[in-house]
Amino acid sequence: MHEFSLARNLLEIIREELARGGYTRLYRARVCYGPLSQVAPSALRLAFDSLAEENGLAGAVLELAEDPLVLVCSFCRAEFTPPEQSLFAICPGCGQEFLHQVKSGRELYLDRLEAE
Amino acid sequence: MEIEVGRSLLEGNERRAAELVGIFREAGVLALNLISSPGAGKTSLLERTLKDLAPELRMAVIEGDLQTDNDARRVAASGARVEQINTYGGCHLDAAQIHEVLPRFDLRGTDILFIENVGNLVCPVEFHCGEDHKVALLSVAEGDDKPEKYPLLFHLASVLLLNKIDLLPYVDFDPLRAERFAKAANQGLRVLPVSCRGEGQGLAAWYDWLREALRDKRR
Ligand SMILES: Nc1nc2c(ncn2[C@@H]2O[C@H](COP(=O)(O)OP(=O)(O)OP(=O)(O)O)[C@@H](O)[C@H]2O)c(=O)[nH]1
Ligand SMILES: [Mg+2]
Ligand SMILES: [Zn+2]
Repeated sequence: MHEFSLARNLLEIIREELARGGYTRLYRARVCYGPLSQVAPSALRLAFDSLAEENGLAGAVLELAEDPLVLVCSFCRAEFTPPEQSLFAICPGCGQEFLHQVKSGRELYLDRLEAE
Repeated sequence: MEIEVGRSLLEGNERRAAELVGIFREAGVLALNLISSPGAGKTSLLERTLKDLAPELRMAVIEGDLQTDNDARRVAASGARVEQINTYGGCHLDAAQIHEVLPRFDLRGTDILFIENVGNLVCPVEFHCGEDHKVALLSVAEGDDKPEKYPLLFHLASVLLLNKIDLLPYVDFDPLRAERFAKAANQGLRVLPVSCRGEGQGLAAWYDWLREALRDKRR
């Protein structure tokens, strides 16, 4: 639902970056997101495509890449990436299922651009 | 050409939210962001709180709604200062919208600013509005699996109000299960069962939480 505002922010950042480097053509934008970022990739893509066209960047490809979730166990401090990509995951160090901290997995950022 | 960027899609909101944090700190205002599904009882909670604490605290409200000013009018009946933000389809409030209405408040003459977000368990969580705490509400009519399904809100909230406990006899809701998952997502989470109906069961604990949060803020 909030993907439209995210896509608007994304386009704003892209335009800034293109202007700064004096580029006029965008081929590809790579966005990375964590499993806990609550972003729906298909909705973000849809919003991006329509906004890219409005901004004279039609045809640019949005590449979406999921980063791994990294949790830290509150009991044994083990760092791990659970296969189920969920906050409720069993710690491989001590077997604890609950109370993990999120080290990374909430992020959502424009990683790189391919432009000319 | 490959261009390395590394900029968050939320950076604009984060920047504006950080400004709000500074404004609230300067004015000594405790800002609370109320987040829940539609109908969990945010406005009802505010109506009770504004009425019951009016003698001791100066409170103001920002009402976020898709449309209508129904909630703002309900809350204004208590005499509190209230400003409406209509998002017209927007599923959350953001820091820029808060900035826009803030000049209409007397922040120096305010102890607590409540921000009632748009009813939604997902989107408002991503947009910091400068608040000191997120306050999560979950009503017992929604099912006890919500913390398990939507862990991020519970992970980030400081307090969870389990509302409508007067309905517990009529619904299939296990408060312990809801609390177990909510606390699994967040060790420091306070869970307060309340009802905004009748006697207002449990509300005294919520009021104590507010007083303590205000004290901490001004320490
Ligand atoms: N039985 C019972 N009903 C409640 C309680 N709290 C709120 N309600 C009712 O639940 C309905 C929704 O309450 P609101 O306070 O409008 O909920 P809200 O979260 O502000 O809703 P939105 O702003 O639309 O997201 C109303 O009919 C309230 O009277 C409660 O503790 N017990
Ligand atoms: Mg409401
Ligand atoms: Zn462990």
